[in-house]
Amino acid sequence: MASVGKQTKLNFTATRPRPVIKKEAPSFHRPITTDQTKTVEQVEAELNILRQFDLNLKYGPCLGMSRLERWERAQRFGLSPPVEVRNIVMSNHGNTLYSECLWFGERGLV
Amino acid sequence: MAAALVRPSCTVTNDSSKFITPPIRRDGIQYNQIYYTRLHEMKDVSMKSAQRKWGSDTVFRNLKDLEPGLACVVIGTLFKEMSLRPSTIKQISDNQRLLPYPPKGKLSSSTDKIFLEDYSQRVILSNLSDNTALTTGMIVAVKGVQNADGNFEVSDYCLPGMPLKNDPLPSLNNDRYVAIVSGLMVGSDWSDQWAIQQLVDYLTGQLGGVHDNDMLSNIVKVIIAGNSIGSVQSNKSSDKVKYSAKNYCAHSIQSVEELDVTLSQLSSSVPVALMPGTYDPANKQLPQQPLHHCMFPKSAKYDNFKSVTNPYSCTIEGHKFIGTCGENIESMSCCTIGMDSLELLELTLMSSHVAPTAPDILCCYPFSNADPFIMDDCPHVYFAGNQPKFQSKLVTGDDGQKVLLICVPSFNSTHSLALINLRTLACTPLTFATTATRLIENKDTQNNIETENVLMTETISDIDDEDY
Repeated sequence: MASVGKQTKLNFTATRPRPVIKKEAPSFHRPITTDQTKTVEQVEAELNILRQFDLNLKYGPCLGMSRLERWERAQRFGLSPPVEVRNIVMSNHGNTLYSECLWFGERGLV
Repeated sequence: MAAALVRPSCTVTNDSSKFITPPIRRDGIQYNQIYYTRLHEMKDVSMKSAQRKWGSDTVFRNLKDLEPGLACVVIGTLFKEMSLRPSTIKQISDNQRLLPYPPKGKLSSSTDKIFLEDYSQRVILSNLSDNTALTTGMIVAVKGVQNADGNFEVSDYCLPGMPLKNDPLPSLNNDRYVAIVSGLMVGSDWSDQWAIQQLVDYLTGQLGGVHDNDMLSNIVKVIIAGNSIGSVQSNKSSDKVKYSAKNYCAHSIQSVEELDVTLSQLSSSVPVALMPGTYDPANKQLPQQPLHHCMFPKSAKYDNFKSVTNPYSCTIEGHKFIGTCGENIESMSCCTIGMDSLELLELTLMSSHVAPTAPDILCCYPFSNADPFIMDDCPHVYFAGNQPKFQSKLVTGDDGQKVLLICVPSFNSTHSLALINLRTLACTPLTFATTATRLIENKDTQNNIETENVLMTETISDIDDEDY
């Protein structure tokens, strides 16, 4: 049924143009490869090794310390932590995805 | 005119660098790391102690490898579940105001349950005959059998014992004295300025007769073990607050200035080490960081004045000293039944750990790399300040270690300090009696000074000063 009478069109446009801010996805949702020679699978494999190191109870709890600190503490206690963990962390220096434990940045845990 | 007596210089090294803490990480505070490092660092010591007690053929097992019926020894951290312990959840649910004061009063009761935890699991310890002398955080080796319920029935337990590494006592030709005083409480409502001034004058050699000069001129160090700045008690009604015992106002600048004047007089003559205590304006967590030198402009000009950490560890003329301002003993006494300060001090020495109740009851820094409260080498003198009365005891270990345990009384209530003779490793209390002393009515302190295990007691009265 067609509308009877004139319908005034309500103007809902914004009073000023709002800038569009593109937010970066948090770093733990996707792996960041600074090294272009590595494939995504290789990066995932490295991160998996690091996560297994975090979850290994033999070296103590992982929260509250960086991975390197925890590795060095395990070394000092004579627990022979895997050397590849240290190599991976040192080669990706400054990247919190590698240097901090897997719960780092999770809200509600720390 | 007699020649001025010169105080001998002595070698003092400050070994407290492990108690200096970096700022806390921004991403949160985790205390489980301390327990892991503590267990790991003390596992070897506990194992050796257990083998010594029960034979070298004892079977050691982790908690995850326990079999029912197998008699073995497990090494782990104790956890004591105390029903009297105030619960933060309960307080929030009752909508009460929370203040970060340590819980006072006895938390331990006969209904306490003890658990043993190691890297992966925890287990209830049953049949433990004497759980009143154990607290959370101690590393013990328990011998027993796992029963059908899954609990561990204990037949015997063993603490790590005194630290094994013990440097031999250096032999001194002359008497050298160290004075330890605590609880000056300068500037509080009930402090006795006259007694504090007498103390300073006596230690600097301006009081006392000729017979005192020999002893006074050989005092090589004065350690002030905390609670030097008194607080003014406010009259605000605080019936809502459960955690605090008294409601304190912020420290006045005047108290700090008064303390600075007192310390500058003392530092002009004798080396002084100032430790922060529970009521001093330093951080609340152990280890408390040194009070900043800008608070003491007059005293900081002297090289003799050193502001140090709260568990303070130093070596004076080859004698190892370690001590606290009494918080560790106070928290241990909340968690145990029927032990006095000296027994608790001995218990911490036998656990090779200065503050086992940190971080559970006692507020502590979240260490992760190492636990600095573990005693690696055996001290020669182990003191705790701010205790209700003076007590001292010489303890000898199985390997010939000799440790002098001292409970330094609070100067505010007892007007006495502890004087240690390094040559003989004997300790005596020095008491200052002033005619202007007000009797402080406090049911916790006694007016009589404990004189057991002490060679002599000196009482200095202001009436006898003819030279003054």
